Amino acid sequence: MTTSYRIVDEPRPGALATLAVDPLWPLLAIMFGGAWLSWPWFALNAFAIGSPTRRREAAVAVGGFVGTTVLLVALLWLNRVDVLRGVGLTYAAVGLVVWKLAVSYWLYVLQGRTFALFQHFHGATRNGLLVVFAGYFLGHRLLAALGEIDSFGWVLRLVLR
Amino acid sequence: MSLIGDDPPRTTERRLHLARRQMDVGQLDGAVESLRGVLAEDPEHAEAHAWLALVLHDQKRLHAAAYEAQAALVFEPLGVLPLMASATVLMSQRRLKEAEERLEQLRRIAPEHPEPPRVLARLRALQGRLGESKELLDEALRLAPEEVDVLTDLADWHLDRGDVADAERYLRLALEIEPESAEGLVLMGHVLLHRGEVEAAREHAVWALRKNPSSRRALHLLAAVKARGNPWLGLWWRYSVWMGALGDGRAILVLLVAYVVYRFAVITADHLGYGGMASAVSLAWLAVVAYTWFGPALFYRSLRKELAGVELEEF
Repeated sequence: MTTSYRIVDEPRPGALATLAVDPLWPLLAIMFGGAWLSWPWFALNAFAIGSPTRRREAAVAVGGFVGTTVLLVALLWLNRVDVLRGVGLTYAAVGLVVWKLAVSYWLYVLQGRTFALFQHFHGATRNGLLVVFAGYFLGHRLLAALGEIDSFGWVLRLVLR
Repeated sequence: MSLIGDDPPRTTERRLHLARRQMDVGQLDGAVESLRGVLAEDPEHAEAHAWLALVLHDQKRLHAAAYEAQAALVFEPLGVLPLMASATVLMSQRRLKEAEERLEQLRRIAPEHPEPPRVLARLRALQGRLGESKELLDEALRLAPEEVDVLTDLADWHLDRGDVADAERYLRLALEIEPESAEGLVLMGHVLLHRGEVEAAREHAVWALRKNPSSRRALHLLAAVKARGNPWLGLWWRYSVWMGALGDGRAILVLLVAYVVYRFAVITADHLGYGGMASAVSLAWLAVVAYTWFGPALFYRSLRKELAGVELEEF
C-alpha cells in the first residue's frame, strides 16, 4: 500500500473546504461590495481551498488595507498642504481605485491557479452570489453610516470601500 | 516484491513509458497521474521527478515544475534528464544565466547528445544572438541528422529570417521522419501561408491544435490565416491570441493601464467642459469591460468551430 505523491502546488484543503468558492466571487465582491468584503473573503477562501500560498494571499489582503490607508492619508495630506487641489486631486484619486483593483486581481490570479486544481480533485464548490448580493445591499448602508460618525469614520469608510 | 508477483521495476518502467506517450499526445493530466504513481512507489526516482517537471512546465505550473526539477537534481545531480528539465524550467523563468550553466554542464557530460546544443540555441535566440543560435543548431544536426526537434528548430530559424525555401527543406525532412510532428505541421502551415495556400495552412493549424489546443504557434498561424480572409476578423484573432499569450499577470496590467487611460480621459473631458465626450468615453469603456467578460468565451467558441471537421490532406 502506498500513499499518493503530492505535487507542491496542489491544494491541501482542511475543515474549511466546505466554504470554498470560485475566486471570481471575491473578485466581484470588490466591485459590488468593497474591499471590506472582498479581501477578507479571498483570505478565507485561500484557507478553504488549502492553497499552498494561503499565507501569502492573507498577507496580500492585509497589505491591501495597509496600502490603501497609506495612499489615502498621503492624498489627504497633499490636499491639506495645497499640493493637490481640484482636478489634481481627482486625477490622484484614480490611483486609489487602481491600487484596490490591482490587489484584487493579484489575489484572483494567485488563487485561480490553486482553485483550478481544487476543482479538479474536489469537484463542486459553493455559489457566492448571495454573499455578493448581501454585500452590495448591506455594505452600502453600513459604510454610509460609518462615514457619518466622524472624520475617522469617514477615512475608514474610504479604506473599506 | 509483492506476493502476487508484481514486479515493481517493470511497473515503474511501464508507467514511465505511458507518461511519455501521454506527453507526446498532449494528455498532460494523464501524464501527471502516471508519474505520480511512479513517485508514490519511489519518491527518490530522479527520472520521474524530471519528467514531472517537464509536464508541469508544459502545464505552465512553473513553481511546481521548478520544485520537481530541483528534486530530480538532488537525487541525480549529474543526470542528463534532470539537468535538461532544470534548464528548461529556468529558461521559462527567464533565469537565463543559470539555464546556460546547466546546459554547458550538460554539454560536458553528454557531448554526443543533440539536446543540449539545441536547447542552448533556443536560449541564444532568446538573447537575440541569432548567429550563435544557428551554429548550435548546426552542431545539434551533426550529432543527430534525423532528430525531428532539431530539424524543426532549424526550419523555425530560417522561417524567422524569411528564408522560406530552406525552412521547407528542413520541414519536409522532419515530416518524412515523423509525419505527426505538431511543431513540424505548424511550421509547414506558415510555409504554405507564405506561398499563398491559405486553406492548406488552415488545415495544418487546426490539426496541430487538435493535438495541443493551447499551442500558441498554431493559434498564431490560425490568426494569420483569418487575417488573409478578413482583416477585421484577423485583427480580433490576433488580439485574442495576444491577450491569451500575455498570461494572467500581464493581461491584468494591460487592463489596469486601460482603466487609468479611461479615467483620465473622462476627468479631462469633464474638466474642459466636454460632458458629451466624457459620456461617450464612459460608454466605450463599458463596451470594453463587457468584452473582457464575453470576448474570450466568443473566441474559444469560434476556435472550437474551426477545430471541427477538418481532415489533413496527405502531402
